[in-house]
Amino acid sequence: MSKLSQYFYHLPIHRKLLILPLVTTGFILITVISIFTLYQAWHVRHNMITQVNTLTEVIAKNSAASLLFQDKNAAQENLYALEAAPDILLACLYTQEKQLFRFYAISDTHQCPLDNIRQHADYTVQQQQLHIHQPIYFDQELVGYLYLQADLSQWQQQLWFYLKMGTIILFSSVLLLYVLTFKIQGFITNPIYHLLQIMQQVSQQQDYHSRAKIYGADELGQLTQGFNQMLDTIQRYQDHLEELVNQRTLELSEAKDQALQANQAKSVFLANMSHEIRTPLNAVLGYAQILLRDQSLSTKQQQAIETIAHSGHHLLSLINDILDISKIEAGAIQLNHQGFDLYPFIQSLSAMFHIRCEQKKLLWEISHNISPKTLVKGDQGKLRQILINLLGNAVKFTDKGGIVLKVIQIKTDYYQFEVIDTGPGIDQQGQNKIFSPFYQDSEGLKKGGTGLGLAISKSQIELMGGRLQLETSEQGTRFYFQLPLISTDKADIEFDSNNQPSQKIIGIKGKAPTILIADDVKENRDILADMLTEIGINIIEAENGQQALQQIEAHCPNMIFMDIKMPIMDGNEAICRLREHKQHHNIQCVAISASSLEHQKEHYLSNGFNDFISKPFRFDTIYHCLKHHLSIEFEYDNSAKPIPETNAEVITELTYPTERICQIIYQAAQSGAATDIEKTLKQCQRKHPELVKQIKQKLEDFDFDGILALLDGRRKENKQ
Amino acid sequence: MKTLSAMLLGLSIISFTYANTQVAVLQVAFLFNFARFVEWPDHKLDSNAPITLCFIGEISFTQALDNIRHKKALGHPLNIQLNISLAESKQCHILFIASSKTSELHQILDHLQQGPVLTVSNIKNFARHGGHIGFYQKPDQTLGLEINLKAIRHAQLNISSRILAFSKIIR
Repeated sequence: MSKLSQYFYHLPIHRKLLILPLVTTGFILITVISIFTLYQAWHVRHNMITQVNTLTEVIAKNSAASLLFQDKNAAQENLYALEAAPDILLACLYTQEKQLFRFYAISDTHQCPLDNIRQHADYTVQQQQLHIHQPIYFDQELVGYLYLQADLSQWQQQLWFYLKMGTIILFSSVLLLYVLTFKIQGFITNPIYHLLQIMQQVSQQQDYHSRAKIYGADELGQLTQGFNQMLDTIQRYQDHLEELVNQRTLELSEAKDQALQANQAKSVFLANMSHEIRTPLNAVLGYAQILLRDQSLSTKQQQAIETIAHSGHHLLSLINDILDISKIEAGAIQLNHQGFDLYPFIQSLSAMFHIRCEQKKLLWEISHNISPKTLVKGDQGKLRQILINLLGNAVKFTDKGGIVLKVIQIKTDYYQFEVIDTGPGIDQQGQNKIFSPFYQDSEGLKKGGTGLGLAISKSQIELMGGRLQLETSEQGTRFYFQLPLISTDKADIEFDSNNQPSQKIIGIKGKAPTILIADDVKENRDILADMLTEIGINIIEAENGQQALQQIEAHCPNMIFMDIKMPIMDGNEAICRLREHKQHHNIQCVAISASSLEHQKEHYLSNGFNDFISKPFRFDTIYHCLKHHLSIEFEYDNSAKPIPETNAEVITELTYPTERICQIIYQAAQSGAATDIEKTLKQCQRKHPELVKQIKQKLEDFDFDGILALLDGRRKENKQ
Repeated sequence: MKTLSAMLLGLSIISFTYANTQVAVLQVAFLFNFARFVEWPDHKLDSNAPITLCFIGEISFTQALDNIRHKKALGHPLNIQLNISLAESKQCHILFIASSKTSELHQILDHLQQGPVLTVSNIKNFARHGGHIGFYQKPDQTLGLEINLKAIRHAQLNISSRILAFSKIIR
């Protein structure tokens, strides 16, 4: 039933309109015809029986006299009257004594029964034959019996006839109805199909201009009218919407332009600020480093310079942190995935913090399950920054006890890093805020710092797909995070795990290379020049790119330190020009820039630079760069001790610069060239203050022999 | 041989006697039936009044009369009068004239003067001689009726056509 109704629901409406009257009318017709036919059949049968009964009664009455007067002929004539009724098959007339008196048979096959003569009038129907028994009375006296047999098949024929007629009427009515409904249903279906067609047209072609035709004022007309009104509204709305969209788009694009401009301005501002702050800082730090190498300074002076250097580095790290957090907030931070070996990575960290822990008299412990040659792919720079940050914090806040670095491989390509300290812990309030930028708890405020480290670390860990978590108590704090580091078979970065804290370099082994320094700021040039001439490297200088190219043509240096921002011709253009010439292809070029945005490094390398060093630079970086690109072996001052932390007076010793410088001074003294000596002395002023002081004293007296004798002393010393 | 002939004779006598008896019974039954098929004028026969069935002359079927003595014809009981005199004949409804009265036939009929009395007789050609209904022997040995319709009408009697249907009408 539900299937049928489902089927009916899916029928098109013109079918429904056809089927509905057909079903109802058909049902009614069938019912009426059935009742009629059955009634007719019953009626015919009843009539026939009544008729035969009447006939029987008539025959009986008419036969009474003949029976009374025993007149067979009259009885026979009476019975022969039945010939007019073809339904009567047999009529038998019996006497009072149930003897057959006379009979009438339509054919010989019918024979009168001689027994089973009923005393009472009745009739039975057997096999379409009606049997009537009628006793004959006259004047209340039984005079005989009549038996009649009639054929009822006519009744069946009548029934068939009515059935046939009924069926014909049914089918012709249904056909007529079908034709009529088919013709008439258009009044309903035409408006619907038209409406449907318009609706499809509208929805498919998004054309809101078409309108449906209204056929009449009935419900369908109202529906169509409503549909048209809706179309009107949509059309108006659409037109309005288009205007609105155009207007909004315009506003948005303006806003976007403004935002882009603002963002651009912010980026430029950040880059400029960074550059502008770094440039003077470079000078400060550079000279602080140069001065620190000067043995002739008093301890007090050295301490002051140390403080300058320390504060400068701190300022630098602050600037870097602020830059980092700005980049994180701007979403501009990018991961720099490289293949690296996790084992030496950990070892180098361990080496770094082993010393720092020793200095603070803390126990350093490293625990890991990383095997040597664990090559993984990841941003080792950021990972290092995070771990240095966490470990640095740990060292900073722990006054007694120890620091533990744990690196555990949890599963394939998944590592957990833990930094555990025995510090004072972080209180509940602090735990909630510790990862917010610029937040520092009371302990932090005492110890100093920007309050950015954890915020940066947290963001960077999240960027790498981990989450920085914290467990803390009064016994200590545990920072931990888990990172996916996919194993690889290629290492892009090598670590020197034996990277000892810089020993003092006093010179170079082998032939001294020539290095060009191109920078428009004199101080920057001087710092690098001082630093490099001190270890015996030949220096040529240029103020801009153009000069640099001329100097290269003239002197053909082994290496160039090139500033990027320069007047007349900047570093990028200069390197492009330089690389155009084949003969200069093997000149190592290192870009030096105060802008430290990381993605620029790649840009420089692709431009033709061999390396990039950001300002302000550490001397170690420069030396490492020389060693890496020029394969220079350094001479180390093995006797040099780490920078003394005590306030004890430093005994100034007479030390000598490199043999080459000594030779220059020696020859100059021999030829009495005082200005040459003075110029050369400048180079070793810081490193060998005692020698410079003594030579200067002798020079004032023009005691060239004294100078020679003084220099001869170095040979003795060397011999010792 | 004698015995055989005696037996045959006896048998024939018996059969004769039987045949006579049968005829007598039939004649009595017919007489009763006439009471059912004939209508008398109202002044002659009130409703529920007895129908008088008279016999004049000698009859052989006195015994058979017992068959009908207690019957009613159309509600009328029967009053059977045997051996009535001529003077009594007018009060009868049905008068059977026995063959012994053949010689007095005209005298009897004249006496009745066409009054409403149905006259029946087994005298030969009774109807032709002015009687109403006469019995005669049919060839198939059954009893037939001769009816003088004109005489019946003159006597103001009405006879049912159903009797006429199987009777010989005498004009």
